[in-house]
Amino acid sequence: MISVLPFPSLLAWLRGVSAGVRAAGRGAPETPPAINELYHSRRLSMVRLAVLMVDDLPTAEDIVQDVFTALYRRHGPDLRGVTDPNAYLITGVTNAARSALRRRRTARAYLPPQPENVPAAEDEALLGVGDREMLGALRGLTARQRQVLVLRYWSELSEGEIADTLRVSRGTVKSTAHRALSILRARMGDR
Amino acid sequence: MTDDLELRLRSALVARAGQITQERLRFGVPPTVAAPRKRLRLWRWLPLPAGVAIAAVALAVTLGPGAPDPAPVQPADPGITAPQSPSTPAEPSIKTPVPARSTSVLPTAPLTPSRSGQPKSVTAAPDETPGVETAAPPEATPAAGPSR
Repeated sequence: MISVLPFPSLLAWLRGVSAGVRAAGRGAPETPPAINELYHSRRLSMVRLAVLMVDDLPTAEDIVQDVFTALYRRHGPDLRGVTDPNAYLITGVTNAARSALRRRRTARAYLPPQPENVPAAEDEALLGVGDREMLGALRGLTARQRQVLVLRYWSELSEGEIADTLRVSRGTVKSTAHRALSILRARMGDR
Repeated sequence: MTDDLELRLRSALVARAGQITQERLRFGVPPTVAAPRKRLRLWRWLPLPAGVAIAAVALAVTLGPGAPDPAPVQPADPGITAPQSPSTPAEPSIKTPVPARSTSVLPTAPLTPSRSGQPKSVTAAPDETPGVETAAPPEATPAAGPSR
């Protein structure tokens, strides 16, 4: 009897310690999961990034939703193991946008010509002439060139960050950006 | 020229991105609601222990009753049948009334009505029954005599 008494107290103490650790890891019980906070705070900017790469809003929204879902399924609601969720999202959106553009190009090769995915008419009307021309020229670039320019001039990423995001070398980023700007310059100069 | 182009590119990208506002987006469903995670994973792993349990039960069923059956019974039967086989010639005289062997009855059929009319003795082995029959009548007749 005497030897049994310490064990329940020891078990209770262990339970208390483990509950405290769990509560500390999760934060307050009413706090929403980290993935949901990230979703509400970063969704709009990710959709904008995707729109700049694939042009149409519905596809961009689907891409962003898929990326968030993949992030949640892979790393859970607490995003364990993700050191930089923002970089993860940018990489995911960029890759998904590139896949979408590739699918679109493949479909275009096998289907009769259809009107291209361009911004809605009201969006075009609200843009200035120079912006419209620039976006039209941007649409003529390859997916990789477009990604490099968007990440560099809209996301304001450095060459090293772009290289990490696209998983290419820094030299590739530099040469791709240079080539893309040359093409844009030629097209804008024509106009 | 390059700086001007970069400025124009930057302003165009900002203008296009600025058109996308929160009001234009679809109703956003958080990933935890759109794609429940943990329960699905638990259900995915459930078939594994279930399969293992079913396999264990099947293994136990096949190996459990199968082991005792062949070991004791099989050796016991031949040991018994072997000594019985020599005695079988004597048994047919008792058991053989079975009319299943109709072919064997046919040749002996003419004998049955002439002797006793009992189907048992007829179908019995004709070689052995004579010895038995011959011994029986003498006993019967003396017993019948005193009784009268």
